Amino acid sequence: MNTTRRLQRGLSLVELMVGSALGLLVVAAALLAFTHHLRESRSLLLETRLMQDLRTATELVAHNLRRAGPVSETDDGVRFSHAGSNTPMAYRLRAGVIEMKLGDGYWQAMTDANTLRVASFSITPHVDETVLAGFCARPCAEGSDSACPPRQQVRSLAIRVEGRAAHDPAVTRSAGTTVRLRNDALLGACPA
Amino acid sequence: MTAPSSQHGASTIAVTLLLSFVALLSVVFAHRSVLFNAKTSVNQYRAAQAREAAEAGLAWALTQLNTSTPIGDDCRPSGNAGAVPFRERAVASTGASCTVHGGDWSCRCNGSGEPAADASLAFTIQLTETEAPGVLQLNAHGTASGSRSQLQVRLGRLPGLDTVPPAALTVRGPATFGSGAFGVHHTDPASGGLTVHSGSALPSLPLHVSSTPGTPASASVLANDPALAALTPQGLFASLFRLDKTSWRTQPMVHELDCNGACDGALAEASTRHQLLWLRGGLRLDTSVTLGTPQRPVLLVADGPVELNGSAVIHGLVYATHASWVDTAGAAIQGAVVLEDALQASGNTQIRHHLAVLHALHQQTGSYARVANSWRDF
Repeated sequence: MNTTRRLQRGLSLVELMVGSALGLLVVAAALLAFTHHLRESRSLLLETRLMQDLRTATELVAHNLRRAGPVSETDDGVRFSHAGSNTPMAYRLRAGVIEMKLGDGYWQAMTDANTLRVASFSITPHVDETVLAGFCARPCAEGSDSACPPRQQVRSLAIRVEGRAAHDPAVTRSAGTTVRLRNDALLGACPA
Repeated sequence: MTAPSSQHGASTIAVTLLLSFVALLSVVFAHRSVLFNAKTSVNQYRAAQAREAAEAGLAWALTQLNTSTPIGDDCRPSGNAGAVPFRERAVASTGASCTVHGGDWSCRCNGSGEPAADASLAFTIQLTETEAPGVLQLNAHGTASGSRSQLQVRLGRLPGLDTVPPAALTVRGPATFGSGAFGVHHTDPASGGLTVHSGSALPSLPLHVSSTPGTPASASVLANDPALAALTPQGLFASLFRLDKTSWRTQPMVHELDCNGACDGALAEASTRHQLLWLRGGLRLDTSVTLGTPQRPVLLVADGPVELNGSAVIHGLVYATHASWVDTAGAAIQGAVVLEDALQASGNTQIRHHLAVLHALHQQTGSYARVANSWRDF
């Protein structure tokens, strides 16, 4: 009986304090690591979502522009129409949102302002021109204007979008692609 | 010592496994956006692959259309007697397909138009004629691991011979006919009966000139034509072929041949596969070779003098850049002859205007190219 009581004597105050201190230290370290992980995870999530939004917007714009016929740059974007169609279309950057023109005067947002603020949206054309003088039955008249001989333009557009996360302006990312327009432009004509 | 019955290890394992599973679910939930991104990336990758496969189908079909080599059912060159070029095969059939197996493309041109079922990356193409003459509609379907893409484009044919010459013999400059019974004939009233068309005066006519019944020989000759005289050699070439020489010569359907010496064998062999031939050094034939047929004529551009030492028969058009035309045997040309400069002829060549042969050249030959603004992916 005495032996059992001696074995179950509990902890001394010093032991309890040291144990508690060590335990608290370990818990504090774990909490710190956990909050750090949460912060990192949130940041990663924001960056991933930002990149995903930027890539999706870039891909949508590129996919549509690939079909373009005539293309012209504007102050805040680009104006175009599909090859073989007269329906005017356009993209522009307005108040941190990329918008697409549908029909007359109606603009559809392509990005979500609640998650992504687009800082810059640029479309840079690159044109390679081939003169088709050899494909005319008759040569152009002396001093004829630029419409003769006809020219073929092989066009590509470099699209670049930069944006920041709406919830954390410190998180900024950019995405870009180059799209080759599948319908080459033909300018001018052979002499009648 | 406690009794063994108090050691309940099995329940501890179950609880541990449960906690581990909950932890795993928590990790998956925490990284759901990463998993979602991975999935969308794979989808984008497959969609891009399918689109590029369809683009490859368009490019492959255009290349095949502009190749005159006979092919077999596997779309590869074939020496079989019944083999025909893709152009003649594809238009009549429903299409062709190509698939990737082990990194290599394998194609089928037997008209099935369906790729192998186990193909992870494939395209099929269909060619159909349109309401516009000489214009084909090309549809391409690309597939990549379940993702699909459809593209279409129109292809127009640049005829190898754009304008059919109205006369049996066309000479831009002066023409002289030396010794021999040179003959020019154009007896079909439907095509006008014009025998000789010249930009200069003709002091003498060929020995044999025959036109439509009842038309005197002299009335079938058009000399001193100012429109023809006003053309430069390049202008005459372009008015017939709608291309300058460099562009015509470099188009994919034109076959070049060295004919500085006699080239009978090479030319006869080439004419069975190619209808448009550019002959470097001119045209020299030493045997009684037959080039082309009325149904499948040839167009010969001789970049030099013409020398015929055998009774050759040519079905088609001969365009010569040099004035010298020497015939020591008596060749026959069924179609037409065009000289871009002068003509100094001697010998017994018989030229007969053959409208059907020239129409066949206009309708069968030439290279296909994309029609502007015809590419669609919707």
